[in-house]
Amino acid sequence: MIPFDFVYLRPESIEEAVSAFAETSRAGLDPLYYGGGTEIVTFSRDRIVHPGAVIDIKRIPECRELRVEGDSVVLGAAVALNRIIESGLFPLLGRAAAGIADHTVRNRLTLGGNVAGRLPYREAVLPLLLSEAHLVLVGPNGRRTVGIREVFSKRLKLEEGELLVQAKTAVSTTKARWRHVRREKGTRTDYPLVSVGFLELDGTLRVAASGLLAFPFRDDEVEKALNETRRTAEKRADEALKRLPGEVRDDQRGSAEYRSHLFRKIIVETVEEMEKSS
Amino acid sequence: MKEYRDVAKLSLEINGETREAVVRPSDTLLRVLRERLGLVGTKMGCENGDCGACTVLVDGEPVKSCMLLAVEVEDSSITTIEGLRDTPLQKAFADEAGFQCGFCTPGFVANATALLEHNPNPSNQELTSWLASNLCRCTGYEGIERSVKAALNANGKRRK
Repeated sequence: MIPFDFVYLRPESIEEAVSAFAETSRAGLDPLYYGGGTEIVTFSRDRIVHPGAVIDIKRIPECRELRVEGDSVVLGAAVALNRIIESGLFPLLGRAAAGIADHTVRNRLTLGGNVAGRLPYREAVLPLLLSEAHLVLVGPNGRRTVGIREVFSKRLKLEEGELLVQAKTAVSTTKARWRHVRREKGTRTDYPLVSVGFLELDGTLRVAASGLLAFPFRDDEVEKALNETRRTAEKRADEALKRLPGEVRDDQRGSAEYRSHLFRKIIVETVEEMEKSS
Repeated sequence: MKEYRDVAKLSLEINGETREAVVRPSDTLLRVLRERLGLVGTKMGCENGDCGACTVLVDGEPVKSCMLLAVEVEDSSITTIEGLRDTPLQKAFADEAGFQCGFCTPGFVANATALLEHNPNPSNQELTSWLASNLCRCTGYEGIERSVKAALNANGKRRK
């Protein structure tokens, strides 16, 4: 049971959603945009969040789009992860998303909710970082389309009242060579010890990871280490570990030492596999 | 724009009938089913999206009713365990001993009903992925999987 009341608003357009956010905000209701609800409902039950208003974006047509438009794959923020997986439009994203929660939850859990959420994992963001997706954001100051790396650093940094409407990824990047490896302590539906995505573009290997640090990341220095092709895969992996942009997580699921070991092993295997078959 | 503030009368289509309930916007579907409408076949386990005991079908898709608001599904068709009677899958659960204490059974049955509807010929991987959404604390997983497979075989559609 959610132990408090809130106002529920279900706009039909982006404009309605943005003004509903502004109005409820002015009224001191501390609103949240609401996608599948999986995180907001469970966090509300635990009083981790306590919105006075939720603005359900699932009826907004642009937020529900899932299609190829010209050179881009358009991924609406309110599209449930299972629909993205089944569409086959972005195989790396499909694989990364298939590790999140479980099949039933993924019928509700949305792309936007995962990317903009508060959990430390947010694995759906990894393929978007790797493919350098553009995000369509609409807020009180209008609409902007920005590269994800400009607005995602540890978390999605939106302006007050701004709504994530869509992610757009170039079709060509969705067809590039990729690999995604996820390791859990127990069951596959558990949070990951590490979840690591790779994308090879123009002969360069990109890497993004979740579970390893307190936030999902893609880091230029780590990638430089990965692409020092004169060194062995092991040396590159050791160097990548030294350049991580944060402390490795150390908790009851897995020690920092173990997570580092898994990350190193996944890098070595991927570099060797990619280079063997190229 | 649809708005719900304070308490409101909500009309829901459940098991083919229109049911009315007075709800708060922050009421989860699970709580409304059990506490307002007396549909207590849907079980309340973890209430955190982990166990799947509260699984119901919304427009034929399995969802965890503890993780969504009742006001979200006012235009949807909802099926709870009370709406599933004497189905071949339920018979298979009885024949194959697909339950022990029975607490998780309504959730498993709802989920597997959707799977059979979605794909009458699922691969083992697909079946495992779907069933992994539900927990059985009696650990009766083998019997549950055996029951679902028996229902698939009874349909004569399962890949050998």
